[in-house]
Amino acid sequence: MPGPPLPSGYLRLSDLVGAPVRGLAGEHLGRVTDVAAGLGAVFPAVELVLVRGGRRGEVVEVPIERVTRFDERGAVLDGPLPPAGDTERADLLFLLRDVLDVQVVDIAARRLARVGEVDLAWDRGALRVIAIDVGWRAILRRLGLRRLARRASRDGIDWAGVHLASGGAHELQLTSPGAAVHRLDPAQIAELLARLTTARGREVLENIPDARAAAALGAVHPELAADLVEVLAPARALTLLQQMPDDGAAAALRDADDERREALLDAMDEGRAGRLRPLIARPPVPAPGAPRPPRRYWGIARGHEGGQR
Amino acid sequence: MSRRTRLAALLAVLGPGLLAGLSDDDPPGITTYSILGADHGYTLLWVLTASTVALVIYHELGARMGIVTGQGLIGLIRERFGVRWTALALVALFGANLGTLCGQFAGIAAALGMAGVPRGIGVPAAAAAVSMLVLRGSFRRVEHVLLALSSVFVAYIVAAFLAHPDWRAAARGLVVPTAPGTRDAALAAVATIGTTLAPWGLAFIQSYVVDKRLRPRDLRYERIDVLLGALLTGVIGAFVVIACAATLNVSGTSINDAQDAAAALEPLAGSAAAALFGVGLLGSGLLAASVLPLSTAYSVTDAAGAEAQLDDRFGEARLFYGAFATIVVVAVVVVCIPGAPLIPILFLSQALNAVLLLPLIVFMRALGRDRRLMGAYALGRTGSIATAATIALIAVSILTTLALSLR
Repeated sequence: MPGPPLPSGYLRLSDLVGAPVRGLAGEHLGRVTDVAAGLGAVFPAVELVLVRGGRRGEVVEVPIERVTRFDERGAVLDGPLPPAGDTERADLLFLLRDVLDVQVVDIAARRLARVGEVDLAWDRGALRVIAIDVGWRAILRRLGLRRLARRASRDGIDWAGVHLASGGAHELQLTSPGAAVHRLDPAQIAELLARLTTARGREVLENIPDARAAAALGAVHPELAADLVEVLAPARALTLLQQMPDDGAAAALRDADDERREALLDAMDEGRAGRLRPLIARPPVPAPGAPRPPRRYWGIARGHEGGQR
Repeated sequence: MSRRTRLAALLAVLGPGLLAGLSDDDPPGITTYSILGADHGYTLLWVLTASTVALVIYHELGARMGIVTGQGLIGLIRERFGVRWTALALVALFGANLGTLCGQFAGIAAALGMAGVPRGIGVPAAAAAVSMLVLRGSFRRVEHVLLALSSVFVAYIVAAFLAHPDWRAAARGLVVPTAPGTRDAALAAVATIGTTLAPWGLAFIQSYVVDKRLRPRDLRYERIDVLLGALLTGVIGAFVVIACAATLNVSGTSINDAQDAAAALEPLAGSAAAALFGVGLLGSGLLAASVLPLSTAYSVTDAAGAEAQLDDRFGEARLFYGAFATIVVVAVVVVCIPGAPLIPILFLSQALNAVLLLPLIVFMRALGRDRRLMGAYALGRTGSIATAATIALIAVSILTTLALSLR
């Protein structure tokens, strides 16, 4: 999968990190250790360059406005390094720490992948994250096997279709309106939930609007729905179940643990609970040819257990 | 929570720790424990005690990391340390797994050899059979049969009692460390560590808990699972050593082939000892030879970041199937080399395991201590000391073996 075409002059994060940082007169100031971007826009704009330098070798944050040139040859600042700050911006995505090598869900291709490279490009004065590469080319290149890398194909994903599934970036995306997760329809959210851990799935359901969350919960595999019902805060689980059709709510409650299921049924109005109880006790036989709910992510246990749990 | 609910929760969680722990009682494991008892009597039993404690510590850590992060070991190493360190870890894991798979096929060859089947026919046939079963998703149908065959090694417990061992010496050997003074003794200690705390088990247990979608609230039950698996393997291993010490060591017999090792079961099985031992070797060898290539293939795809499933077509998961085929074919070729010594393959592959284990547990400790990654589940002071002590013990054992070899 070659992915979206890249603009000429695009930059790779792995080339930027470790690059030298100089002043206008060419004096050595330090080296780039990371690059931080804000998640406000669909394509995050770099706001800070982290530089290790100074007499004590501490890491300092340099606002991107102070960088007059930034490419694989290094960065040039408009003056000396600023003093080291005390706090780390919690609202920024640190591309080396939070993105490179972490797991992502490629929403369009419905797959879990790992980021091998982060591609950036200058766009009207802003340095933006535009895509990631999850293929062999990026890995081989970073291993120093450049000749082999040139023969490998790129497997790129447009940043707009990426959800970071591990590390601290997951929560940051959930609270950032520009992130991909907020543009997904319920079926896509269900695909996403099937590839996340249960704890991260809970966070997704807690950060999207009720109607979409309820529809997504109804679209995942019933076992996963039950897991999610168990880990959601009781009030949130109840809200979502109330918005689901009877068969979907019954399916989600069927495999949930007894205590949680009874507590949720007791909290519903008597009529709804009365309709759900027989449905929970007697699972419906699926119609022939009915679409299957998204499968869970099977790995080693599936191999060992032959796909049955 | 009622007692019944707690029991149900425990049963739902059981599996990863038991399987990863009990898998150590495979042909290389049984052979290594047999050599330990036959050549060194009860004196090095403490190495097995220490290895079992290390098994509990690192399997618990692996399970904890899987539950908290939802990722496999190699994937986590890539996330926190980047592609270059991942390449190192993967080379170590692949090398260890290849050695151990050679050991499994050597065990199968030894078992079939006792029945008169040439290894050139038996080993490729066994490899083809287990690969087909696993790749076609039919493994579950025979898994319990193989588990039942492997369980004949429990017979060592009875055999040990019937052999009238020196229980006082055995008890002292279990808890009082004595330094191995010769190269062979040091090598036996290293191989015992490598077979008990096998690298593939570390990757396997973490992947397994991820795929079972265990949650932090399951951790207390998973700890019981890990403890049970480690205790069972430690207890069976100890009785193998005791049975061999009470029979082979007393008679001055060294283990040069499977028949020699089987003699330790004679107090129980008499003339059927060889057949009993052969059945155990075959069952446990086939079981491990099924799971090991699969675990390796998942680790390789995990390092590359690819998502692979057994029902993917070859074109969709070339790396997965390529890794599976490579490790199986290379192991079969090594074991089928005419005249390749089976017992040294079984034994030395486990010493190699211990060497390749070191970088992996150093990574595991660093990951386990990372609060950003593990949050409240990060290793505390006690866990950090215990994991560091394990690393130090293994490093000292390897260095001692090297020093004694060069003397």
